Amino acid sequence: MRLGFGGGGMLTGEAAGNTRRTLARMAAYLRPYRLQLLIVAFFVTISTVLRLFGPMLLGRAIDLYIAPGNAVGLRTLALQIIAVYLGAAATAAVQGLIMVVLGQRFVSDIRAGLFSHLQIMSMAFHDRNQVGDLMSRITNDSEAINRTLSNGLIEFTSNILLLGGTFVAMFLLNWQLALAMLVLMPLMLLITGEVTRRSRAAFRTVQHNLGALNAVMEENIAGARVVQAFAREKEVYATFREVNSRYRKAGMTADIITAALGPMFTTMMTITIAVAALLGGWLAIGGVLEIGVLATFIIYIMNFFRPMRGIAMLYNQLQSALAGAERIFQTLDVDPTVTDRPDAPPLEEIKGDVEFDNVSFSYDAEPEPVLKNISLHARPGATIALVGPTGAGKTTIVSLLSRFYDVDEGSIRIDGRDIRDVQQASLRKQLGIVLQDTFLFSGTVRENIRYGRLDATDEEVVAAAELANADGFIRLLPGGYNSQVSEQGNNFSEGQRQLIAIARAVLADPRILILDEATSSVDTRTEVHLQQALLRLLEGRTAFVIAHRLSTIRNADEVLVVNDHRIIERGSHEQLLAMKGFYHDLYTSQYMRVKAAGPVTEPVPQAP
Amino acid sequence: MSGLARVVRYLRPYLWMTVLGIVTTILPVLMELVTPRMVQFIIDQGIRAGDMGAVWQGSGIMMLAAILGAATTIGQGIARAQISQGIAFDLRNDLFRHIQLFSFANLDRMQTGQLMTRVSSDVDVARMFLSAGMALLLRTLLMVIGSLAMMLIIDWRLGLIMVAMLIISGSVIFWFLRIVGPLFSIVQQKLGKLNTLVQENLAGVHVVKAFVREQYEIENFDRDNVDYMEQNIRVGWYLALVMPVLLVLTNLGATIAIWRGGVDVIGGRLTIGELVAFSNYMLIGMSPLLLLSNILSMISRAEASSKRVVEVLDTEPAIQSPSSPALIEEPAGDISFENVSFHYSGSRIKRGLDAAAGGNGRSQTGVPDADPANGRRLTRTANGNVRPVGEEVLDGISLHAASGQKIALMGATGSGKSTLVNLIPRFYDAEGGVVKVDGVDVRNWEPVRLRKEIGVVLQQTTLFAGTVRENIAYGRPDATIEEVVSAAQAAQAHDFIMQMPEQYESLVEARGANLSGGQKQRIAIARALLTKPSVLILDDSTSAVDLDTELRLQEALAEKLEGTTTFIVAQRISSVVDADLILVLDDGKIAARGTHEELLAGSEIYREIYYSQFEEA
Repeated sequence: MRLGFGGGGMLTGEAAGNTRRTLARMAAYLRPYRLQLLIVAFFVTISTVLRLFGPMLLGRAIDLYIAPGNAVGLRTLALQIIAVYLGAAATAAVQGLIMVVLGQRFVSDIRAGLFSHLQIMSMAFHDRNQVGDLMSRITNDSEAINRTLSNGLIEFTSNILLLGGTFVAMFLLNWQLALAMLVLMPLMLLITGEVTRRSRAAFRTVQHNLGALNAVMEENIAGARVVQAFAREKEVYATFREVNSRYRKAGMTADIITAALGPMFTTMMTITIAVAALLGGWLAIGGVLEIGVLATFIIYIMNFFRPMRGIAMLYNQLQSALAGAERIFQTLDVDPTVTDRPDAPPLEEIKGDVEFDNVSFSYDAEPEPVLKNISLHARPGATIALVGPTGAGKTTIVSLLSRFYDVDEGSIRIDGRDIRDVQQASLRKQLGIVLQDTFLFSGTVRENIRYGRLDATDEEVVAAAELANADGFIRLLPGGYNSQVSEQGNNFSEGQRQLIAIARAVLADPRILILDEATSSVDTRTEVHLQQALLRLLEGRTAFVIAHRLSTIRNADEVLVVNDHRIIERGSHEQLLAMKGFYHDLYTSQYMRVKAAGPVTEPVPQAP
Repeated sequence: MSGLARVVRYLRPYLWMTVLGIVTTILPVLMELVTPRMVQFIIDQGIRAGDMGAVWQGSGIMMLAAILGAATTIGQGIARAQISQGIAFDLRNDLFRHIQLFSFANLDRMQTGQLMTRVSSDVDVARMFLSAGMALLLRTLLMVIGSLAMMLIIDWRLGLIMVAMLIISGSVIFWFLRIVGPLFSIVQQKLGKLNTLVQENLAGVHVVKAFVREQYEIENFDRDNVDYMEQNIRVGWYLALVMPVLLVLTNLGATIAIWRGGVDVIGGRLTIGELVAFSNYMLIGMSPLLLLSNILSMISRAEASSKRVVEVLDTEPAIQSPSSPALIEEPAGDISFENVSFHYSGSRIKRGLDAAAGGNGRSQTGVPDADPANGRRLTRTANGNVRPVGEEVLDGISLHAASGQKIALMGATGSGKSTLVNLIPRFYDAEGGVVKVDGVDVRNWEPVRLRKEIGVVLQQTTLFAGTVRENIAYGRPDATIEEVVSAAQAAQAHDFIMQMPEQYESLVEARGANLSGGQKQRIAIARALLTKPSVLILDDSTSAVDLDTELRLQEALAEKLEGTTTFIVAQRISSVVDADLILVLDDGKIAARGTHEELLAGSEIYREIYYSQFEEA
């Protein structure tokens, strides 16, 4: 649905990558566990050797003890075999325990790395990528790696060792027969290569479609209320079903390819045994070969094929891990568009002098600028009001001040320093922002307010809520400040969410406060009280206020009228009214509407 | 195994595939069992007797069996893929469809991340069992039983040793299943928690950035990530231990059998060929047993996940369709509330999927607050407050809106305005009293039919990924572009849409990031208008729209909505002055009702609201 939209940082299509490079990057995540890996390798070797020893001893049982009729020797041998298997089991247990920890840590490192990376990504990236797909990368794609790795690494090592060991043993037993086995190797490699090439493509499609499925789900479960309001269940379900069926199809292809691999090897094994029996039988009848040797040899053939089959299947499984890893690395490879300069110092405690110098900006997917040549200056402690029609660019101005995006032209300075020359975090820490889209996290009311300043005491939380006029309704909740906020704050009205969001920003105690339509859904009686509190709060702080209700604006030191991506008028409320321009029209239309509705008959106040 | 049993029921449509799957699982096993028998045949009848013909014969049979085995195994792979992917497909469809049935009351208690985990991860866990696990299990059982039978035929006393070994192994397996099953359930639960945290973090990324909480979020994630990891490790340790135990048991049995067998050979009760065959059967029959630990983890994981899947399917939607819905020929939009009261009651919702039970991502304490200190049980109301159980959010609401009237709702934040309008499209069911649309109780309407009659602009604007046009045509995908434009024009959205780079084909970014709040609201209004509803609900839907635009919007709506009953929740007096009826809500009750003039004269609260805004101007 969103394809063909190649904006910066948009993750589209299936991830692809070079196998060796992807493997190398995965291996880099294993580096911290070098020592543990060495220990595991050591134990794997021991347990593999011991396991190899078992059948060898059993083979000897026939020729050395049973055929000659040595019962005592047989008992000793049996005890030896039991000891060998006990040893093998003990080492297997040790290596298993270590590997579980190691494998889980490895994937959890990958998950954490990916999540951290998403945290530093700029807003532009988050605007362009669907939540569900990113979620799928963190959990499902890392899980694909996990599935392979947790068992794969041990099995792979032990299979390689078993294979090598078996081959050496075969060689010692009868080198001609062993060499004959070698002839089969290229055939096996060919089959494995051909099969995995196909499965790799299929696994890529699987992970891609799983991401798409998650995106559809996330959007429609989080937006389920709208789906129901418009009775769109059928259409949404059709979309889901379609993506779901693509996921099924890809999964089926991958499954069938994977399923074909094992039997191919089993068949080859049986044919080989048949040939060996034929050949060995011929030699044995001719008296060249002992029967015991032939029996052992057949066991070795089984032992030879089993690890070969194991390796081939693991290699196939690895393709699924690689498909997951590619998607993860694809995400990690996207760099944030807004970055700190390497030598950028933190922004020191500011006074709050804000200057926009001829700033132009457009969101990168759109050729049309959203802001053209914006210049403004706010002295420390000043309140700047931004008014104008929706979509004029007011929110963009404050987004740029917060450096959610970087300006295309011009510069923004705080206390004379270009905000691109300081660390983003140190800048935003001194800003308090109440955004237009109120967002609460699930958790308690207290936690949501404390989000503004994590080390705030309970008293400070309450004080902030009081100032935001939220304390009143919070106290009426049965749980008070410990009441649960459900996902997206759905159990609160929009007005209440806004009040909590204001309390959150108040608690942050910022030098610069940004209120973007912060009270649009608060009823006007509450707002009157809130207004007075905010006035006190704004004292000594620089503030940017976006509002449609003019009462907030009247008290501003400077009003900027934004229309059509430019500032078209600026000045104090009185000056702007006197100009009889855009602002005057806006103001009088609102005033007249209210006045027309009521019995109060006073002249339009020109200036209080 | 109740969960898996339910999932296995999904096999029904794949009956023939299942039969094929079973047959093709058995055949290759039989083929593999031929090999040792033939090796024995070659040694005893061929080599020992010096008969090359027998050697040829044995080898030939072996090869034939191999080719047959390969053909059937490929059939098995296809059957398995069809069945497991098919069942997973059906399960996901059923789950998603069921989640869509959940009413607002259900959804209020659930978390998107948790639900997503169940539809994708849990279903996949079940699928992997159905695909690999079930076939492996069947194969293992067949191999073990088959080779055991062969061993018993060769020498029943030696075979009995293996039987004893199997009984011991079986007990180990049983013990393991009982311990590990519940642990896997916790693993999936923690995964759901992690998913929820990520989902909220990404949906609220603007707040995270605004407050520079990236580090805090990373710490939260790390905590849940480590939690998930540790649970995985805990389960992994059991797996890592049970495998060697089974290894020892199997090989112990094998060694003892060979030892006893060797003694028998020495005593002349057994031929060497028989012993070789016996030990080969042991190798074939017992080595799948080692795979059993993998299968076991698959089974217990699949069971845990299946339970979680079934739990969703078993959660009843709080709103049920009537068995025989009323037939309304000509919807007119006549609405009445008769003594309606509403409070939240969780009685109808199973607690299994309750978000609070799963814990939330950010709570440091992890203590659910569902039971506050004062002992009253906390509950969530339709939209408004969190209140103690039983306290009314709406209390004795009666009103009548004749077809085509404009009804306005005013009142303080949290006074129940949104709750009231949410009862009309039956997003929630009233607890007491009746809500009627066109004289018919909303509970007797077919919900989809009812909602198609009612256009709603919710307080929180949600747009979907797609173009502007797709978003406006959301309620009527078949609308022509002219109709879309006309709706956008009425909603005062046309002008700004035309300024977007690709006009109506412009893409809406995640969270509508490329649109301002007011623009999003106007698209949402256009979306509702396009459905040509007989009732339109505007729930505080112009809060971010500037006054000039709102004025034009209001005029356009008045024209467009001729004959449409309109409910408007608003803060501004200017939005409600021309309403036929204004209701002032206060704490869930209608405190005053009348026209603007009547209320101005008669209602203290309304006058206060009025003056609070007049002061502005």
